[in-house]
Amino acid sequence: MFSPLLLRAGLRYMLRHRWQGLLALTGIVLGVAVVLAVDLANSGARAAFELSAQQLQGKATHRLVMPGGTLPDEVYVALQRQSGAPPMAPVVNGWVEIEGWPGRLRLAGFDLFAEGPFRSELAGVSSQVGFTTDWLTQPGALVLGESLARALDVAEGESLDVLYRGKSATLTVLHVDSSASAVADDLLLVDIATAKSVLQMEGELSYVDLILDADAEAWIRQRLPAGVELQTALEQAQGVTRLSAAFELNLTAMSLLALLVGMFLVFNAMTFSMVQRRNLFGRLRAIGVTSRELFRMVLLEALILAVLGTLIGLLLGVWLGQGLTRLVAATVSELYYNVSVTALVLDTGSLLIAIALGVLATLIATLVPAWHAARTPPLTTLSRSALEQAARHAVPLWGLFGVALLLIGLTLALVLPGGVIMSFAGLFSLVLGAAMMTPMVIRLLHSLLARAAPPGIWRMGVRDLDRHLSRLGIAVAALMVALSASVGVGVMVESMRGSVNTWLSDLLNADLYVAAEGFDQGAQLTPSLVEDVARLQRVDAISRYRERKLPIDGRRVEVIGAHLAEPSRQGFALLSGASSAWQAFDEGAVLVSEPLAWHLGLAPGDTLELPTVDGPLVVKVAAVFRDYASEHGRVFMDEKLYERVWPGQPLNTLALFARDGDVEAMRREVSELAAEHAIVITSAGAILRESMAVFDRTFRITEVLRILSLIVAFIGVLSALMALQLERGKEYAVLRALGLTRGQIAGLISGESLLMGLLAACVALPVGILMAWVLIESVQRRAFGWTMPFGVDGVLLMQTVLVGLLAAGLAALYPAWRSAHADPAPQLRED
Amino acid sequence: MLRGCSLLMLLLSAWLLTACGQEPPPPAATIRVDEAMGGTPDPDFARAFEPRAFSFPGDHGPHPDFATEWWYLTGNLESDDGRRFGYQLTLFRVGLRPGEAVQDSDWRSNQVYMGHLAVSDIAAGKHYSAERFGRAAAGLAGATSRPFEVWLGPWGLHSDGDFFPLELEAQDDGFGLSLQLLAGDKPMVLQGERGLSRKSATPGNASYYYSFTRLPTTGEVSIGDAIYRVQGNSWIDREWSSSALDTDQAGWDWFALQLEDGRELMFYQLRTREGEMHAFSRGVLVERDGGVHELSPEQVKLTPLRYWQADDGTAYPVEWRLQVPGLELDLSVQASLDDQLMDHTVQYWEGAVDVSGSHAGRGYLELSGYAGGP
Amino acid sequence: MIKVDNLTRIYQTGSNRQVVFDALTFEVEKGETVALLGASGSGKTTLLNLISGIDTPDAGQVLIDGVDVHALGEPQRTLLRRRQIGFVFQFFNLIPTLTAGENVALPLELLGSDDRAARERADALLEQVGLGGLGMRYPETLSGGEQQRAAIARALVHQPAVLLADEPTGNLDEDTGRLIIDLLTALARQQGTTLLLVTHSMQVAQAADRVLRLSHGRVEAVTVP
Repeated sequence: MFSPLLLRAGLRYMLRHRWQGLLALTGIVLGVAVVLAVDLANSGARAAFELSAQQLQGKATHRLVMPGGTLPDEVYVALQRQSGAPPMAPVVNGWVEIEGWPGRLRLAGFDLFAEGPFRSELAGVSSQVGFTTDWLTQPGALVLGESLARALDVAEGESLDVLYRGKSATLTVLHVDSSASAVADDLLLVDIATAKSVLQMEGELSYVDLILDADAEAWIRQRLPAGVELQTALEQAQGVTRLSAAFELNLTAMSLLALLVGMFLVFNAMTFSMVQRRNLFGRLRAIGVTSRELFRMVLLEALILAVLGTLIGLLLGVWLGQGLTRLVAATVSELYYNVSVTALVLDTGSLLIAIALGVLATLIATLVPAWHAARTPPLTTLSRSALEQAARHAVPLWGLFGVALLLIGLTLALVLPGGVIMSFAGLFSLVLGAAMMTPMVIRLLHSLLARAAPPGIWRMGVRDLDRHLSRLGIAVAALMVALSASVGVGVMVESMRGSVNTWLSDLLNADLYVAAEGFDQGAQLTPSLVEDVARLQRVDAISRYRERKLPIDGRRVEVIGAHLAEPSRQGFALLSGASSAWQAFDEGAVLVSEPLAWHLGLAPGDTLELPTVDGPLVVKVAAVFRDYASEHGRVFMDEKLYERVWPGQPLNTLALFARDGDVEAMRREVSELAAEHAIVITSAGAILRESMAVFDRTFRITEVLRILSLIVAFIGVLSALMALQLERGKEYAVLRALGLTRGQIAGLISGESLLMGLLAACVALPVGILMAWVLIESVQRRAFGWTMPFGVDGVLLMQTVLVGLLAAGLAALYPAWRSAHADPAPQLRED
Repeated sequence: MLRGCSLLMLLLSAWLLTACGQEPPPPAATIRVDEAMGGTPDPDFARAFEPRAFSFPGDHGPHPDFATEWWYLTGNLESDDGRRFGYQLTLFRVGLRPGEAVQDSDWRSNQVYMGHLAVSDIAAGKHYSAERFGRAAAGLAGATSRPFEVWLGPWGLHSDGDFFPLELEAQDDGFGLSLQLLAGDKPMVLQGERGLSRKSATPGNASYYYSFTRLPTTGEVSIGDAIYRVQGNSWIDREWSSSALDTDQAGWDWFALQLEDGRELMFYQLRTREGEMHAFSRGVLVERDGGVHELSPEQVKLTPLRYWQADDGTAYPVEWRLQVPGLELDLSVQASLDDQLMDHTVQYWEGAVDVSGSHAGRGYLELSGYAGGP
Repeated sequence: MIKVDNLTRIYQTGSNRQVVFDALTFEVEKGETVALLGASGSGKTTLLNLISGIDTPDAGQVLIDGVDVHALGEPQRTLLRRRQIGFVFQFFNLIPTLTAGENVALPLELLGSDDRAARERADALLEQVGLGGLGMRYPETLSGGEQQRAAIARALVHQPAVLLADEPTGNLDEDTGRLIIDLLTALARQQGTTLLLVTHSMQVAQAADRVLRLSHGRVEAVTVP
């Protein structure tokens, strides 16, 4: 039996104390919204990747590839002529550029006649008479999706110039596909003949898709030519999703952060509304409301608030998510390839997490306050001071619990073996523990401050803080979490930025770099150019590089065959095996990048197997070098060895060192060569700038999310302060009656608030640095395999303190104004 | 013979409409298919205006100046223990555009090949069929005259000599053929006017058409894991043209009958939209010694006797009475198996038949233009 | 009806030990109106809290209608209060977020009567205490006297056996206070409710059938002039 009047009393309380009800609701709304938004952005990016990958993969179960290269036409032609051949579809694709268009687009060439069993959506776009004829016979015939056509501003019949390896080709739009799912946003769909022509892949295929059952797989395996590899669709999918792993990890960390801050906000809001109503609960208890009834009333009230807050939060989250998703899409487009997120992907997982946070976290956060409320003695026989006393007694207990969680977190992240998930679990535990410790730390800091504070009103402010620890503790903890996360992520990004910068500056120590036009699409230098450069007068030394990607243990490892001039060698930061590394290198051992060494557990002296046409090539590891170029890993080997294994491959890059340091003279000489060769001449500085710009773009979304979490924390502090100051209205009225001026009251409130911000920041700094440490040592290491020197930026730390103070200061404005302007008389009269 | 002439255009369009998309073609698209059927090929293609001097083995190979061409093989086979099979392998060449393709890539071609393969296991009451497409580039599909070869992926015909003995290889998922066709005693038959077969009154709406009407055949038929050694007789039609169906023609019924007395009868009835026999329907009776009697509509009387209904409701006349009073022929032609439906991009019925009545024999029957619309 | 037997309550704060009552014993008959007179700090409120089971004694018993209040568990004590005891406080203690009518109806609702019946009875009682037509008003819009009338209505609405009034006039002016006491005693007598009235005012105490004085932890009978 539950009394509706009781519930009405509770809900009317929320209505009556609109600010408080609103802030409690805001806590839930924001928590839900931020978590949902980040999750939506995350799944939006993932869905874009998956759609593209899936569309290209179609119903294929396997794929024939030539590791590190392209597949000769003959492999496919010969197989498809044999009786009993399973369904096969040849594919030629590559990335092309379009002038004035950021990012690259995937040009995919198919043979429609082979596509039937594979990519029915793709083949299905050809629903016009005459289509087949034009598609097959008209060079450059192009099909693309409606949204991409709109973005590129092309219509059927119009032409589009694409750039590949410095060569331009003209495509003509044959058909704009308007069906919902047919053509992904980044796809330029052409006949395989057109693709071969544009991508300069005469006689070569990117791969052949297959649909195989066990028998057919055996059939294929018996007929596989040397060097050709049969991969499963699963292996393929992993390759594609890996591309975005770094980016996604970034977002996941942010989502977790939002979840944590959201939970604190809800907890904060609910605790407040409970503490404030002790009087009311006392009266109810006196007239015969049982503990259980009170408990249920509070929970029901929280549930209503939670449902309402969650609903609004979901709406806000979807709206916010659209913005974030656009931002993510923009970043992905610039860094990887074009995705335009036209529709938001509302996946059930994201929604469930957000709803769980809104409803469950609110209820869980209410349990403790509700339990306290239910235990309210009839009438308020316990004074506020007794209540605060109880809260103070709980502080060390929470603190101990917090220390334990913090230690568990560190153990999970740094001591126990495990993957990235484990690292994140550790990080979560660490932050939660730190938050629980916060009141205890505040107490300690406070005892120092209390002695130092000047007498009078300031000392009063300091004392108040300790007195109101039961309510302020949580608000400070919420602010602390937001600030420390900001510090943690900030320090990590800064450390990484610094490391990447140092690494690149060291590595790119040549004066000029020469590559073929379209090098980013794999264009290579012609041998004649290499000879010409070698003859130049002003060139003192040359390093030569050629590369290919090889699958090693499910990773796409870049293998680089290099002739390294002495200064180039000095650019390598060798982490182990330094002493005799170069001698070993010259004798056929290889340099392995740190991520690859970490994932394969390689150390100098170990051996590594590289797949080649003639079976695995076993090489010895000379040294491990610091590298952030690829999370998949890179292997450097001497040019001579590379030539022996993969003969006749043109060079990708030349690094030139100027004679007598006269870079300009050398540049003039090299530039003359550019007239007859399609080459790009770049200085190390330009590459460095471009690389750092890419780095900053990757982390732009991190910045946005940091600000978002600070806004959430700010609202948390605001709600805490408001509730507190409003509750203390009578106290202020008494002080006013005793003769404090309005200014002094406002000052008292602002001072307390700023003190709170300062304390939160003080706790946040070490916690944030600890977080950064875990992020670098555990998360980054386990996810990517690289390490980096830990660099704490003083400016960032100062910023954090300022942001904390600013948030607290802003949060104090309204309560200060209101309390100072309130007429003391009615408050004094009220009981 | 008309088979495939416009059918090919229709098949290509329809394949893209139905086979690739999961949805049936929208009504508007169907109308366009209809238009495509009546449409004339690019005027730059060569046309058959008058009889030509055939030259072999060159003419066994492709004629890319013409829009369409086919190598059409059917036959009745029997295993050593008397199990009966019918088979069909059709390889079509279609010129999408006249002349050489723009050579931007080795994979570019103006020529496309389509293949239909079918085996009727009469005793088991089963009919197996498959369809393939391929471009005539990069070795995916093509034809040469010396040595003779036509291929489309794993399906193909080839000869180490000029044409015979002819090896046929065609395997698909679950069934296949591996046959050798010998020249036999019968000479090549030039259809129509010395090999020029007119399809309508419009000049140039004609094809070059010759046949081998009785080719002793041996080899293997495989169905599932079973392999049957077989022998029997095959029939080859070779035809190329750049013509199209006239607007008043709805479809055709084509008979290729090998009589036990050593004669063969071929007759195609072009049906008007009203279901009447069109004036340009033609046929030929090949004597034991290779002598021919041309058959015109006035000489032949065709009566459908029984219909078999496909799953989609289309009724196919699978039993006929074929009368040529002038030659004292009164034949009953019955499908050896009712369901020999070729249900691919375009639906038609093609299968082995038994001949009885005034003369006994076996043969092949093709019924087209019955399913929805044209 | 109320039997207080050897009741002892000692407050212990640090080394400071304060004996509020020591073996306090008295009885109130059913339907009787008894005033408990005492100076500030004599432990009047503590005594009421002990009788209603809000506070716990260090020794002794409180029997209400023969039931030992402190032998009951907490939930049973709360239910005893809900059914048997009505409260009138010095500071009215109305629920600020419920209207006067809802405040009065609340005890009935807690006892499980349906909403409609509860509201009708509440309205009738408000009429009786002279607040007819004010049932829709929130407590803060009522004067002190009106609030206390509403509180009296709330205390009596479920016809408790015992009504405990703690300085019901303490927050009211003299005239209003007199009217309130008259109302309280009249209603208690009319319903046959046992009324224990705690006050520091002799004038208020005069309205009772019997007056007891509480001083130094003991009770003594006082002769009403």
